[in-house]
Amino acid sequence: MTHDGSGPTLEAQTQAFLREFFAKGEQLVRELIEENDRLRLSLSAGANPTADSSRTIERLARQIELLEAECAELRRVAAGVQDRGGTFRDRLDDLEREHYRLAAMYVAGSQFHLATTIDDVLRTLTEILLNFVGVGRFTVYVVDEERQMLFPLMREGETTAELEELPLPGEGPLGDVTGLGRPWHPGAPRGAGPGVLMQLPLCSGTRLVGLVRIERLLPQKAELGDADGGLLELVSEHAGVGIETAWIRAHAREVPLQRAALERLVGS
Amino acid sequence: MTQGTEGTPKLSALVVEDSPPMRKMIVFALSRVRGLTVVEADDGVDALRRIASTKFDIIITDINMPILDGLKLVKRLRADEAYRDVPIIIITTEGAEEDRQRALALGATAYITKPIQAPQVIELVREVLGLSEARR
Repeated sequence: MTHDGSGPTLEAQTQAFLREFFAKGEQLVRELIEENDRLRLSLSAGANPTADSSRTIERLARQIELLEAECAELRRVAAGVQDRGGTFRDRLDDLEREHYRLAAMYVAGSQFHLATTIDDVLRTLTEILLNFVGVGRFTVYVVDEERQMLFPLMREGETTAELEELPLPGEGPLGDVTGLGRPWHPGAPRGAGPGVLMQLPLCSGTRLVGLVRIERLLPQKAELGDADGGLLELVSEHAGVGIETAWIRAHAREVPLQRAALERLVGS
Repeated sequence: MTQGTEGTPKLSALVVEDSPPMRKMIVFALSRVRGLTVVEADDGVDALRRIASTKFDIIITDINMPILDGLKLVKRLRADEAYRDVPIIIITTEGAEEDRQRALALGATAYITKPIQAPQVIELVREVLGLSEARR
């Protein structure tokens, strides 16, 4: 935590207050002892307490009242310090969470860009959903554009043998997400339905490439929260591009990089 | 453990994880622990190679890895005099109770369950290394 230099820090103020408070307390105790000694001496000498003693006792009682008032003030200041400390800790925790979320998105994005085959993309997709989001079971469907069908390509932990194809554009919740015309984003329809928590479209720009059906979360994950939105949006966009790129790469002829050819492409 | 400047202990951690995204996230989380240098290993064999040349203060390892998995790695480490008492944290999945118990029986110090969260990893590593709150 930094201080802006506009005055003493809260810690310095508290320290000064405490020093003053204990100095006054020490002074009071000293005076009480002196008065006690004086009274004891006068009693042992057979004398009665004088008017001076009464005044001294009244003065000491007032000092005690003042100290009690300062003690209450000290408690109030301490509570303020605690509140501010708690606020700073909460803000630090929020920043840590945000920092981690951004790091997760960076890692996920870079992994999708490093994927060169469909297997790479599926592996990255699985790791992100399983380990970062906390999805327990999901199925990846890919678009067969000629037949306008979504076919199951992979299911986490199980086979796809018994799964049916889904006709495009689909109706109801499926139609809501395939009709987005762009990658999913927080606030967009989730396409939830019986046995399906979310249907995440995988897009390359406006082209629908596939879809992830999220069927179950890990036991320790209660629900898909706002914090998951950024990662799911990233998956929706980058996994789609990843699948498309891997598909093109699988069918591309090996072409050496050439300066003249590349220069012709610049600005084309 | 060696002492760094300003009295900050210099500690080193080895993260053994075959999944690059997971490994990167654990390394990122551990980068938040002051004074801790983090080295990465792709799997158990890579870990043994790195251990041969460096003495680490803590090992964080996944269980499911190709070639030499986390359980075998824990066993090998505990058989090594230099690593008999070095803390080992294992990373497991929710349903892997049996693996978890086996790892702890073999000498693992603690475990974390996927999906991992940075604060959880940081807290556990600090606790295992005995780093105080004040060092944050």
